[in-house]
Amino acid sequence: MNRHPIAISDSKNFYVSAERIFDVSLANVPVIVLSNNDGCAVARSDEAKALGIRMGEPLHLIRDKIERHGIQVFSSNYTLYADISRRVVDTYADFTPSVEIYSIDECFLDFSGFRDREAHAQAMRAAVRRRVGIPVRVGIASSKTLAKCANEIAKKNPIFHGVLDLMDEGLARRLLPKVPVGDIWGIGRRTEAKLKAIGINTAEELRNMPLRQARQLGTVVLERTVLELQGEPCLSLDEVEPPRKGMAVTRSASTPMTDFDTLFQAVTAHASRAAEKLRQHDLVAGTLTTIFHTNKHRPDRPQWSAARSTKLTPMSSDTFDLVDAARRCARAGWPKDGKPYAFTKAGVLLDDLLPTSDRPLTLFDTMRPKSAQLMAALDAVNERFGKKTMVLASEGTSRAWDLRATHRSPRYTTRINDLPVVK
Amino acid sequence: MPIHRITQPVIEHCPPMRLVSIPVSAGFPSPAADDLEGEIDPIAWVVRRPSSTFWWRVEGDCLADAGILDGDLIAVDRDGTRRVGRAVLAVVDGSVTAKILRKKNGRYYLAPANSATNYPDIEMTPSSEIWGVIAGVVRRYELG
Repeated sequence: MNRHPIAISDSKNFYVSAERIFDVSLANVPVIVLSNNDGCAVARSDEAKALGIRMGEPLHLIRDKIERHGIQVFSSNYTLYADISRRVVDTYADFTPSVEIYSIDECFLDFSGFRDREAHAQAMRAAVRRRVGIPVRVGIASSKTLAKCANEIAKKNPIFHGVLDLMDEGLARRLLPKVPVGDIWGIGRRTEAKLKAIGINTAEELRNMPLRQARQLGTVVLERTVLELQGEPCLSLDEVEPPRKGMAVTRSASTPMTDFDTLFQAVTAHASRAAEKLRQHDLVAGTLTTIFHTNKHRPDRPQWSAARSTKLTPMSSDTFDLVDAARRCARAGWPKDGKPYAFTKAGVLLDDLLPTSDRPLTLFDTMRPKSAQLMAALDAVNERFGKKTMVLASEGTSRAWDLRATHRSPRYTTRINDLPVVK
Repeated sequence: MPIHRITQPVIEHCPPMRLVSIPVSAGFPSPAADDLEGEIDPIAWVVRRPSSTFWWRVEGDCLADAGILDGDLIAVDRDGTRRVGRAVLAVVDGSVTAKILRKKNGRYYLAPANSATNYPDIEMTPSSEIWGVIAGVVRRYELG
């Protein structure tokens, strides 16, 4: 059988580890990082986990614990995390010919061709630790699902020193009976309940499940998981990022938006950001949708949800075009019944994306021959002097709709005024 | 790809018709076009390993004799080789300090480089750690 080893490397408590690189006083103290809008804990240091802080626990429920134990709290600083993630990926690239980025803190790596995979993985861990300062763990197997499984086991058992190679069938046979079926990648809560009902409780039992029965119980998806657990790769290592087909910029507002002007400010900001992202990837969009809605968890208040789309003709990545289209959609979706709605989320979605060079040309393309230059200047100013230096006036200056991020650390690596200081 | 429900389509009427003017450029291509080279980038010359190099701002003059002054920006390579005599960033007692790595009687010390004042040497302990090696320094002066 010809099976290629695939590794998955994931960073330990990634957001917390990233904060700790520059703020060395955070070593060995409990730290949590909050979700967008400071809602709940999305990353916890080992010390915070030991204090019983659970993943996704809302901030207002843990206030007294924070106070009592001096837990350090941070808003998420995605600018920093993205830069650190990029450096980690660059380091992986020195250890494997192909890296597939799965999320901000997880990558699949092609590990075929190395004689001593474990030593290779340990060398890679040490390099990431030393060069970037992030601790990572590695699981190796012949399929992604099994590699994830190996990674989980390495995470929970310090005896593996952060690396577990499940290419060894004997080792797999000994360890898989200890992995609860609900911990397997791709097994959701419903499937877990169904499996448990028929007596399948562990990864070992799931991998021995007859394929036909798996397909009956959980369609082809579960059948694929069973095959993957048997070491048969069904999910390939996607070396090339698929071309983007759609893109979304949506945000929760820190204070609810009650009038059209405030909503339009938020929509302007989101459309501007979407336009900037398009230009970064050298794409144009053909369809724009503006969405906004009230808080669905407050059924006692008036509810409204709007989504309006429009075609962009010609296809465009020009901030003015996108903001204009977003405004028309927001106008069309705005409630006319005069009830006091409080909108908590707004966003702009772009679909029908094409590389700028492939866009269909229309008669009207040369209407604004300087658009490209103007957008290049806008991007250059914001690149050089920091994001949001130059914006459309309709974005407003008070930014009441902006995210809550009260505890955000400095953008250490991307802003000159935020550089860490050494005395 | 996000799935978003569209409750009511918006029907746009015919786009406005306008006059089209197409700019045409003319002339000879530049004879120097083949000799174009990229601009010199001294920062790239300082930062030899981008993935392990981070910028810090210096406060204080404890490395003045090594040519690193208050307000300077320093590039610090976490992957730089720790060698005696090199300027390093070290973590001591939960704070970061810039010093010269020295060795005396088989022990490692973090020493200042400033003859004007008397900063003490700090002995490296198992709990102290070298954060990175200083790869270069950038300073700018007031204009105008």
